[in-house]
Amino acid sequence: MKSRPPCLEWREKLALRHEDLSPSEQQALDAHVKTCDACASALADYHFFEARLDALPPPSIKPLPRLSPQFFEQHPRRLPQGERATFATPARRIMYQARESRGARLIWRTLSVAAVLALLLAAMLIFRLVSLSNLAAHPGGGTLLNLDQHTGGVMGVAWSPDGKYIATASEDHTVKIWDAQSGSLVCTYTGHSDVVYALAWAPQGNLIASGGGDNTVQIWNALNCSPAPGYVSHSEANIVMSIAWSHNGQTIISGGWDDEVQAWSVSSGKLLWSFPTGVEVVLSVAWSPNDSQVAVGSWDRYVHVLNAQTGQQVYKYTNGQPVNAVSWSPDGKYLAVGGDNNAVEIVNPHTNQVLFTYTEHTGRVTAVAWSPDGQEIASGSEDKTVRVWNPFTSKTLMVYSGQSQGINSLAWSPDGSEIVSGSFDFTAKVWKVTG
Amino acid sequence: MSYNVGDPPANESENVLDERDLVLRAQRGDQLAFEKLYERYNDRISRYLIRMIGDDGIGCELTQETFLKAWENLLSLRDPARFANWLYRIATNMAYNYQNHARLIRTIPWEEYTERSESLSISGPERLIEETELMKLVLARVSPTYRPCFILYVIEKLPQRQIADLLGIKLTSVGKYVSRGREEFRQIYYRLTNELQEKEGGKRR
Repeated sequence: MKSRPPCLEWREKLALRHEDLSPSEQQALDAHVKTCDACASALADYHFFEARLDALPPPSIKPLPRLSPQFFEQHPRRLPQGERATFATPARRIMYQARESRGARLIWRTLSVAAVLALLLAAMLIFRLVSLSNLAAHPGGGTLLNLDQHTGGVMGVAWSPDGKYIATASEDHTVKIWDAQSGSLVCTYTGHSDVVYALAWAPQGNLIASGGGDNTVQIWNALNCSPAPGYVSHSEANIVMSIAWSHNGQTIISGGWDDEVQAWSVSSGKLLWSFPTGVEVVLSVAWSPNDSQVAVGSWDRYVHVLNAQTGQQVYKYTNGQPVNAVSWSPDGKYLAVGGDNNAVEIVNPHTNQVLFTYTEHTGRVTAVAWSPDGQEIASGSEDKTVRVWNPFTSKTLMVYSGQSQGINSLAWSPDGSEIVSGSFDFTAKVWKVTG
Repeated sequence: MSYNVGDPPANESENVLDERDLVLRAQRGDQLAFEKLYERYNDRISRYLIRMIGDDGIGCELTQETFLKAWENLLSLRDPARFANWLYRIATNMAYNYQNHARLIRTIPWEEYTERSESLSISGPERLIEETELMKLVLARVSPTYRPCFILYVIEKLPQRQIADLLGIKLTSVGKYVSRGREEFRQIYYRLTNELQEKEGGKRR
């Protein structure tokens, strides 16, 4: 069975209930569906699935109709200071009154402080033991900077070419620029009206290209987060998920939900070529070091290697799983491919050989980057770790586990000594590469 | 703006006032008031979490956890009129956290499902169970970004404005997220059924 996606311009209207559309929109949609097989098929499917979901039987297990009597006893809540309270049971009133008396309050406070201190000590001891055991297995680097002023997941990160700044793109619709030495916030770019999924720093100068859920790629000045004069916003038909700037600074490749990868001129915004990727999302694009080829990682389960001048496909590779991340080795000989199979493959696109497969991650691999000297690879995963490993032996050199949610993005510092990783935990962290 | 997402009240404005009063009383430690709120939202929240997670038992457990967290943090709710929105936000975070910890999407045993489905391949009630499990599995695989919107719009039939308010997203994002959720659901469904057919074909050969 095969399902063709509906037309992009009708996708949203097809998904909404008829009554949520204006009469003119309803008429236009009905007329379009009569003439478009793909949209008619999608609409029929949407109705079919909705009916099936409506018909799902009620849960086999029901939640308790009432809170258990122990609920409040087991989970007491601190009452606001100075506020009079009503109590459901005499016991709770007595407890509260007892706490209110001066002597009892002192004892209560002392006990609370002692308990908190004991817990802290125990937590520190456990943390230290875990760290030591991790270090024994894989020496890890310490966190140098915690960039924590976003109010949404950090979806993209990039280091400035001179290593002085870090840019982070977030679900909170902003891109922030940070001082890479001190971690202080330099400025915030607010030109996007939706989630910012991708960004790329111009190889020369201080321009950034960022794109996301508002279907645009915007080029702006990184040092003051203001629009860059002379550059126009590049509009796409759907969400932008990946951006890569050519090393010569002249061309940008962007991909996402709009069924094609586009190459366009930075100076004029003119489309140079596009490569159709079908219905699936493109999460990663990367220029080869000499700008002659472009690697495209797609959820169609392929890495497409394209001629950067013409957009013609010269090679494709699949391991049968959606591809989330691609990265070229600095010598242009190999590609690192991270995907839904929790693994990273080192592929030679010239000989179609898979050299190694790194399988230490326990979640989908979402970010991959080759170190500037080509001796190491860093891979980030939904398993909340970034692993640094040798691409030619697959040996793990270190594991960074300083983030509390899955990793979305990572980037090496230009000198290869540090990595910045962005996560769903709303932070980007800068850490030292050791081992 | 606040919403009452429980059963429709006889008089909505009265109900809003009544709920505000319940929340204020619960904030002052009135357990009976909190129990009333629990009774009002228990079913909705558990249904939402069960669909988010794809597992009845875990959905029920997370419902309890949601109310526990709500009780413990009730004093941090500054606007009592926004209790429902706040509760949905807690429930959504619970679902995200659970999935991040358990990596549910990765561990839902598709292989187990296909193995089980082979023994359930005859038509009849077993077929219905198989289809139900497939629907739950597909739903649990829809991207976490789009799943809450998809569930609230397609299954719970809530209006877009209410969804935007409950989830704290822009109104214009609801339509986008629903359309992407619907299309993801469709693609995942076809992908899984194709895999199942290929597997069954391979077994027969």
